[in-house]
Amino acid sequence: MLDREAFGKLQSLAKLRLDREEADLLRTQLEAILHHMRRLDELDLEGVPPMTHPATAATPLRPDEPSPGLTLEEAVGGAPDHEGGLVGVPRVLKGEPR
Amino acid sequence: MNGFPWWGASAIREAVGRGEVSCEEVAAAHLERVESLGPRLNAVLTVTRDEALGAARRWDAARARGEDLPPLAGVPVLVKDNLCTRGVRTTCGSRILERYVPPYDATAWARLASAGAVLLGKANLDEFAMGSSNENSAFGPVANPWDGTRVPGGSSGGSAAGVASGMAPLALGSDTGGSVRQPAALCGAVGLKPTYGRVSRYGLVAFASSLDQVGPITRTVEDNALLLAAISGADARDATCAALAPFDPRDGLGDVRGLRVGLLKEHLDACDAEVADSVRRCARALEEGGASLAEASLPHAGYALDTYYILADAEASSNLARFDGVRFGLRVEGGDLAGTYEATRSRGFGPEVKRRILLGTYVLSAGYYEAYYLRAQKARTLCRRDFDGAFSGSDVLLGPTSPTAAFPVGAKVRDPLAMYLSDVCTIPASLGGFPALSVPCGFTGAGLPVGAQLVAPHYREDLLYRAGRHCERAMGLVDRHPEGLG
Repeated sequence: MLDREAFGKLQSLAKLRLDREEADLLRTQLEAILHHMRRLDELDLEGVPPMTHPATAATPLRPDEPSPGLTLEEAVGGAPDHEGGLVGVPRVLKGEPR
Repeated sequence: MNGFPWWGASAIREAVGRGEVSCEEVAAAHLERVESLGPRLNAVLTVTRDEALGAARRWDAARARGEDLPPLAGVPVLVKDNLCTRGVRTTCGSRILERYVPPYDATAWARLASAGAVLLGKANLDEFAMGSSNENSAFGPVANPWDGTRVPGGSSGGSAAGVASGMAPLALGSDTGGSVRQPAALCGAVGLKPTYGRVSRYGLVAFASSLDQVGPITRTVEDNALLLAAISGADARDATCAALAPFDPRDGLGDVRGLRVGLLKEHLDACDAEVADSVRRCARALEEGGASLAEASLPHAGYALDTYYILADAEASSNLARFDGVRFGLRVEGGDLAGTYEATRSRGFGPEVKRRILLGTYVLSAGYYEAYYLRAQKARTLCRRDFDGAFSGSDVLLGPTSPTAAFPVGAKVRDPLAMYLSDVCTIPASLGGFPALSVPCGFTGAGLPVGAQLVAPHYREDLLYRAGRHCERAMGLVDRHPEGLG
């Protein structure tokens, strides 16, 4: 169901890169879990609407008015590379200067 | 200070108000306990000694000036380390946030601080709140205060172990599929998952946004209601938080006469005999108090676990995309941007988080979305509708919180499915957004606590507290504490 190639693609989608041993273990575990999840195929879901959230009471949006928030320095301060209120990002294309 | 660790929030607040103890004395005594039990239990990741003593002295000064003190002035609290605390590192139990210091407070903590509570430290947890044993923390497991060879449950294991061991009378946890209730049950504490929308999620690091709720963990039902009152109510910063007034703790004070209690058949059938016996004793105590008992059923309970793990992991895979080595926390250089994403996340996340991100990515990917994710959303509707039937004949539903008492450390780490089954009784209420309370209801022959779970209709936490208060009094367990901790 989940061969090595498909599992490699899945890692890429999830932005993870596992070593061979970790990948083999997780792939086996995922197969077992996904197999268990196919139990939902037993249910007759014809005409049943999907449920996206359980909220039942009113949740009005706040007025769209400016209010004090984080300073620029606070907002970017958690980034591993930041300077002068800007976040440093690794180069997107190979060979491009950062 | 003899007996201090076991004082409740209201006892501390009253003694502070009368001037019998200072907030500083209270904070110092509890900090001493946090630090002395630290190496044995590993319940607290960051001890905020200076902040705690500073806050305590400020409340003492306010009292000396004759000011009115707020309802929790001087009461020590532990906060799960996935709730943002301004200026205090918030790790989520993960290497990826090991050094992350938030620039803002979660609403639940900000409200608690305004109510006078004193933060002792940040409680250990399963990484990103994913787990049922607290063995998934990157900073080591938490020990169960009743038996150090066993798990405290999870993911709010540090919060529950901290309260149960007398480090603090109050703790905040978070509950996505049972992460407040199950550790409360395994540690002999009281834990509430409020109605979805009752408490703001602002500043709670998101795991599964349609399920997450911040919840109180305490040693008594009375303290639990006080804590819910302090943290609940509308919040303009969380669009999923209901436009309702805070919970009024006086609403939970009534008796149980006339209360219709439905015994959850499927959950009683699924648990250990000793657990079922304790829950049935709890049911009889409610009946003796004037409640009526009947059997109740959740016909799709057998599908809730699969439904939950598809939806929660799908939401997690999306929510955890923000940890990319650019905006927060750890960065591991990987050449270019895509390489840095992969290198950072592969080193920063532990095995359970990777497993769930991969699973969530799979069920959302082209070709599998309809077979897994959409089916699970529809199955969630069926699980939620089960409660309409159950509540037509019952005011509250009663069953076990966990199918077993605390299990040995290491017993389930190699079998994720077996671990997931620990949540089988707590997940249905989570899927439906219903409030659910775990209260201690007995002990196994080996001396391990057992919890009973009560579930009520949306926004009827008052019914849970009424029934819970009756149970804790009738079962006589409030003054029973773990031995051998000193």
